[in-house]
Amino acid sequence: MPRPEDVSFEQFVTARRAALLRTAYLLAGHPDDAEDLLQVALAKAYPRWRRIADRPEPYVRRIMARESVDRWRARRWRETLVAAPVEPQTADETDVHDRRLELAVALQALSPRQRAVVVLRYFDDLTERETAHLLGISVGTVKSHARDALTRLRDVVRLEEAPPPTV
Amino acid sequence: MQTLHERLAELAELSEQRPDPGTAAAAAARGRAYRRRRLVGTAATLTASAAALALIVGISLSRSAGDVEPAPAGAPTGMPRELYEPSPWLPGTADEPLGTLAAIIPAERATWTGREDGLVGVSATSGAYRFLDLPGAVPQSLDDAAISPDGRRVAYWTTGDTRLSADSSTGPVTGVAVYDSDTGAVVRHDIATDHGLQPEGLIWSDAATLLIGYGQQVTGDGGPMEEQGMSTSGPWLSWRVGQDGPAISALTPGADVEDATSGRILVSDHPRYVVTDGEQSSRRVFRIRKDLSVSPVVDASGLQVAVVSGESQEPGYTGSNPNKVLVGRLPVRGQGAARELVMRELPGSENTFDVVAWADDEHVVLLQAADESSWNSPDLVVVDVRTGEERVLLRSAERRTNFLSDHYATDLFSRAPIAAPEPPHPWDPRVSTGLAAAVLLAGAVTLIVWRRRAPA
Repeated sequence: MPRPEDVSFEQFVTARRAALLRTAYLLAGHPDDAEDLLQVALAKAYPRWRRIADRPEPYVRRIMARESVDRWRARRWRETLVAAPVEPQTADETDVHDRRLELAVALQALSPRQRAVVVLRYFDDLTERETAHLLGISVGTVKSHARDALTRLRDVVRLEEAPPPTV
Repeated sequence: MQTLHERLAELAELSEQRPDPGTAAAAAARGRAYRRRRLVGTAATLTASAAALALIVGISLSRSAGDVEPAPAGAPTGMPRELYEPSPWLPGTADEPLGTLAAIIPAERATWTGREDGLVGVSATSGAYRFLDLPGAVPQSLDDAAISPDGRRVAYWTTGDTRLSADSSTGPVTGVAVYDSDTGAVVRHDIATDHGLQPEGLIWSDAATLLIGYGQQVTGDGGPMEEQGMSTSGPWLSWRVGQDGPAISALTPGADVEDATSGRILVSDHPRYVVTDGEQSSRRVFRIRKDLSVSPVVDASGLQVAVVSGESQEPGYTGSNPNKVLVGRLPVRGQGAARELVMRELPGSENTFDVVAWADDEHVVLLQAADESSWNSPDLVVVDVRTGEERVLLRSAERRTNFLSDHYATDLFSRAPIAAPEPPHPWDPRVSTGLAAAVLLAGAVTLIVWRRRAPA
């Protein structure tokens, strides 16, 4: 008979896998890496499950964000693996395909920490303070990373100006 | 045109194109294995750190093992059979005096911040070694400390305030103190001085009477260069310790006191020698034909002298030792003209560095090497002056000439020796503490890094 914390753990994973995987995909840049990143984050959260069971998602996201930076730092950016989106069938799909490819390449060109800041700030809509806490860096560093990353992204991606998430 | 959030969401949709490979179950299994590895790794690191700490503590304790505690009062006293090089990390006497001392040994004393001159006392009851904690002592003058013949007192020079600028190169020395090795009590006597005193001698004329010889420094640190280190002769003080304070003795100021025993004081007045007492009430004057580089030593009755005489045979050394010992008898009534003593050679006394003391009327204690090959590790031997028969009293004695008697409790020479083990050689506590801290730090860092980096 499974233990209560195992049941709770698996329920959480089942419910939040898709959302977490989207973030993981943006951080890792490849579906296989994203799945592995998510599994590593969940495995590392598992031993602390009793303590975090009430609110596990921030902890899992924190591990995921830091793990993505660490593993890319370890790879020293030698690998620039970008999963090409599925080949388009229609003209509309072609547009979407091109946009995705353009952004994927632009994200991969960022440093691991810049990419993590962009994903947490502009996809997960975290505040600068929350982003800084998750990555274990200062708010000032988050600001400078976000500014530099946006500048580089705008060089290759046309973006609509949107108000940044509340600090 | 889309916002960055919309573009990221559009890209992230690609992650949904694959079916769930069973993430929940796989992550739970991976998490269990990860937890196991963390537990094992943590336990291994803690065990290794504990083992390393235990090793350090074990070595440290084994190096300190063998320390002898001071013996209870009333235990028999005697000289140990051997003296050892004291460790600089020996404990101090603090509030636990050693009792009667057999010897004092000037030695370097290590502290957490450096090293300084110290004085080790060797117990005459247990053979324990401890640094004597002597309040107000002048470190550079501890070589001149003197132990009383009965081993109960140690006299030493003290430092304090001067009236004018001090001569800091010598301390400044501003007084003398006597440490009671039974109680640990210290009696100090300060001597008024402008710049500091120039120690001339601390000599016990008997178990309770200390002769104090000193000069006055002419100038202090800020004085003229040509006057630096110069001193004027002062009077010899006689201090009956435990009774009054020191009083000026009848000895001539600046007199060259060579030796004293049982109230007899031997003064050199080249080429004559005078055996007298503190009051100069009796005087025996004599000469020794040979030109001596070491002091003669008189016996308790003041009637016999023994001295090493002749040309040194040791390469690179001048003076009369090591050489043979000459023994002579003083005239019973010797006042007036100096008589040249008739001296006879003590048989088998070759390789003698100095005469330490007379054990009694018939036995003299010599600092003597067995042969030329052991000149650097002489022994104290007791020799019968009638027959030359000798026995080793103490091995590995300090090689030093003149005033050897001030480092040994000479009354103990005639007693049975005591069994005294080699003192411990404790590890430098900075090394053991540093190693322990390094082990703890390494363990903590290993644990933190490993737990953080351990692959899940």
